[in-house]
Amino acid sequence: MANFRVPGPIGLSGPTQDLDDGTLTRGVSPRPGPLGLAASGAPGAAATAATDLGWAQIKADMEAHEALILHLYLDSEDKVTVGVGNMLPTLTAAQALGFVLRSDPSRAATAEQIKTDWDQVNAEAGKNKRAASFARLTLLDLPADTCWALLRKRIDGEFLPGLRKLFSGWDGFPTPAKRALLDMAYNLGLNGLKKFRILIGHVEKGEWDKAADACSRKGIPDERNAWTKARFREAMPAATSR
Amino acid sequence: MRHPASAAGFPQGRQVVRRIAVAAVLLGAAGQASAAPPAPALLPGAGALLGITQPAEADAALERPFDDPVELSLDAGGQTRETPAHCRALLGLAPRIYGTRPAGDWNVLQQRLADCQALQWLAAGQVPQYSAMPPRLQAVRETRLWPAVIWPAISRDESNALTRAAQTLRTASGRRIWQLVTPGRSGLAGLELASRGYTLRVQWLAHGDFDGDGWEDWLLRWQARVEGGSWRGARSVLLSRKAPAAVFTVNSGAPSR
Repeated sequence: MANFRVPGPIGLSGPTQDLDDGTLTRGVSPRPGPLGLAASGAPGAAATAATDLGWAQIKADMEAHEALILHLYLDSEDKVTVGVGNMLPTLTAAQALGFVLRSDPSRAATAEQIKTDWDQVNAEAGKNKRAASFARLTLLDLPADTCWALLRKRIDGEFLPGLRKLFSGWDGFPTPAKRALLDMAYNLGLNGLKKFRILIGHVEKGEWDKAADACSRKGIPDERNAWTKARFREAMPAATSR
Repeated sequence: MRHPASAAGFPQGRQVVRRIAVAAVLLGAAGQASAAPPAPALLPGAGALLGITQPAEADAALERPFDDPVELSLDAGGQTRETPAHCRALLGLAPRIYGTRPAGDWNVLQQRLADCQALQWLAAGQVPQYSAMPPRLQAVRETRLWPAVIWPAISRDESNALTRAAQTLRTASGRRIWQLVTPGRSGLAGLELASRGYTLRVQWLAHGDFDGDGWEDWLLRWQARVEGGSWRGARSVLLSRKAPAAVFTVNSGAPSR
């Protein structure tokens, strides 16, 4: 698929972004918008900018709420992880990735070097350390582009198709609402999001103000709950937003 | 073993009821150790997780500097930043926590808060006067004995459902029995329940009277995660009960003293 350009997300200025091959961030077919919102997907229509969710925006949101860690680290369950929460179940899985030497990123790491980092990281099990603190124990990095590609594979292959399946009107949702729902889906898993039945009911009806009041998750930072709520409020038509 | 129910006054004219109640208590107590409940103690593997070798060290450990402190954003808006150096400082700031910097440190913070809470409870530990707790972890595997609040309900819909009458972990999870988890790298035995998109694990850290009510509590490390998502939960909870075979109570609040 040839690259093409689309307007940036609502409220963001600056250069437009390329959408390259393989992304599912654009709707596959235009659908009517929910309750009084214009249909989306028509090239050049004003509504297009209001409903598109580009990769650059997804990446920015993920970076804000999760974390991009280039080296191996242990998550809070002592599982070896890299990138944006990309868990590596085995050493072989780690060795299949294109790690490079931090001291010379032009040099690819050997399987033995990856094993050394793997062992160093695993030796810290049970210490509940911050991801960043593993930098001094490791010599290798996974290039940021590779980390983002791993994330994108999950977003495009799992989360966006799942959201489209969960919400019949997904393609017509305002961009801020899509951002909120993608954040919830990534955090809770698609099955976890399905447990928010009241929220889902409001979302299906385009009742963004009510969705804002029903999106609170237990066990996450107040900051992230406030961000999600603000996105749903941002999705409200200007005349009715409070 | 003393038991408060045996000393409590019963209304006049209810002697039969009283005798039955006392007999029931004595029968239940027969399942317990004949001696007084043991002094607070750590279970094997718990000390390594908390960085202490015995409960008496817990108070000092509350002020042991963190190896890698987490930066917190505080209060609504999160403009205030603090990096607490040790558990006591972190626990003092806990009600004001808005997020972490970077945000990805949130799960580490949750586990750290849970461990600090565990130390605070251990520091307040006393020899219990009474016990209605079984002797072994294997004896608490039936989910009907656990309250529903132990279940990691993330949405308001789930939480509301759990507050209905007669809810237990069995109704919340749909499972009858916890799986026994053999000690791993931590050396701690635990129980695990995977159901309805959650995996919940508890590990037994210590026993003693940690909330000051005279009854034996079990201090548990509580961890939960969702399948297919980044959400993780961590807490320290006290498990207790005041009658053998009764549903346990769970206390996840701060120590009362």
